[in-house]
Amino acid sequence: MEMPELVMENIIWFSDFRSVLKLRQVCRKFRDFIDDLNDSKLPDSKFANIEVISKKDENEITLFLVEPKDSHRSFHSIEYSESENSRSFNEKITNLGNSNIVDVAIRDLEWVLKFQKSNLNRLHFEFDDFQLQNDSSLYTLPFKLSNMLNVSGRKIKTRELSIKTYNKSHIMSILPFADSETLKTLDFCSFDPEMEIEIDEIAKTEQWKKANTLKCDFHLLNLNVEDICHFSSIDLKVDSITAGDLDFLRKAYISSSNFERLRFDLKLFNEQVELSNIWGPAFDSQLAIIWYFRIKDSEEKVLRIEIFYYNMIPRVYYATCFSIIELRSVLNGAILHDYNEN
Amino acid sequence: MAPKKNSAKRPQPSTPKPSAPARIVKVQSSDGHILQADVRALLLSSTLAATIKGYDDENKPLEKLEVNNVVGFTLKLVLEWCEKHKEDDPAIAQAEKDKKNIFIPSWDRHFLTKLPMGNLFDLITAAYHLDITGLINYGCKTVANSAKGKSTEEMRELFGIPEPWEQPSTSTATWDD
Repeated sequence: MEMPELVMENIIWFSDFRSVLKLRQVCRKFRDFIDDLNDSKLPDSKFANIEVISKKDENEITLFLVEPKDSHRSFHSIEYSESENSRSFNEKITNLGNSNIVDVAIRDLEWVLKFQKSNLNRLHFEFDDFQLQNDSSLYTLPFKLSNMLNVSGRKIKTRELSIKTYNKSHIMSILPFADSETLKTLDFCSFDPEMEIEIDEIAKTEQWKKANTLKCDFHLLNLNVEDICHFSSIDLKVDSITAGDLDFLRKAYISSSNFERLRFDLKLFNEQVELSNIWGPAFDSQLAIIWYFRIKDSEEKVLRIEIFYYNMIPRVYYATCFSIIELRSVLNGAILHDYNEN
Repeated sequence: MAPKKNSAKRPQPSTPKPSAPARIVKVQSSDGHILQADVRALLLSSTLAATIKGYDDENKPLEKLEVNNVVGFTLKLVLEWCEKHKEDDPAIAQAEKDKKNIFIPSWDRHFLTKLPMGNLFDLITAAYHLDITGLINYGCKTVANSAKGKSTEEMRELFGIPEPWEQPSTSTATWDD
């Protein structure tokens, strides 16, 4: 059947994502036509979340595609098994012949991304530790993904980027390919709770600078507080923090219009005396030492700074929290410091 | 022609305005069939509109338009569609320009879905040659809706593709439900 290109383009535009992928398999002519079509002429796959997960125990990669809430089904799962050398989707198992499953999984993801026009709520990657699995090629997943994203020149529009890994270099394999105008939340999680990371390179990216929420499960080394004070919500692990850095953050947040909360898990903190010298005596709630500060241009809101401790001898401080609270929540007997940007 | 009932939820001319008598011209298909049509209906085709304007600008009498790439059977369908839409609010065409929110009115849905797929493709192709945007959009969306949820094999049948082809086993997941 001879159809003008515009007609074929229109039929594809009005089709859904699944139909176009099936149309691609109808004949070589359709496949070539769809493959040559500019992404802007393809329909939107409209997924809400995409997750790419590699699992060491099962030696497999899973691609989870989560539909928006109002769709008739909730998610699709495609499993790529290295031991079976197969792809499993909707109970249909395809033998992948001589193909490498990492390559196949990445090509499938590339197709999904080609169709994804609406912003994702969450893009999640989980890169398990395959270093000791000598016969597995699954360790190549992060680098091959990075290559694919680099070659496609596509920036993925997602509100949240979440990466769980055993190797901190994987963060930079993916982070630069998120669209910084869309990205709001960064969530970095480690398979090893003791793993440490330096954020020099990461903090230089546009994605880091423009995001407003940071959750990081790695222990941050050599944290420069100037790199994080633009976030409105922060969860971090650090070895320790100085009284000077906490005061820098206090000054930033009493003048900020969008700050909400910060929590640092600390391995060690012993500058409580220095803090009292700068901020005056703390209020002791028996769980934490607390200071309250009025914030700029607000009569109702107050910045609360808490440093939590285990009541041992000597005391062990384990976390600090900054949060914006209502004036009425200031504890009786505590001092409320006036707004002073110095 | 008496106005047909149209229950579609789209802007309709509110009250029929007293209009000038219809200007009827002959339209000849590529296989020699001669049909008659109201010029207002033909103006939905950008191609024919340009030809008609050419005649009018030169004050030449327009007796017959020749449509060399559409056969009589298909041309009759085109003219039926144009006749139905000749009084449409131009705002509809404007709103449907970006193809994002195209709603197929019930008359059109019935008109297009009753056609065998081969005739529907011919109609869309004719609409393409005559540059009738509304008919192209409704027709293509009808085809896309027909393909929705079909397996690859069923699609091959729908599009009249003769035989399966040898494709790599690793091509994209088929999304068969």
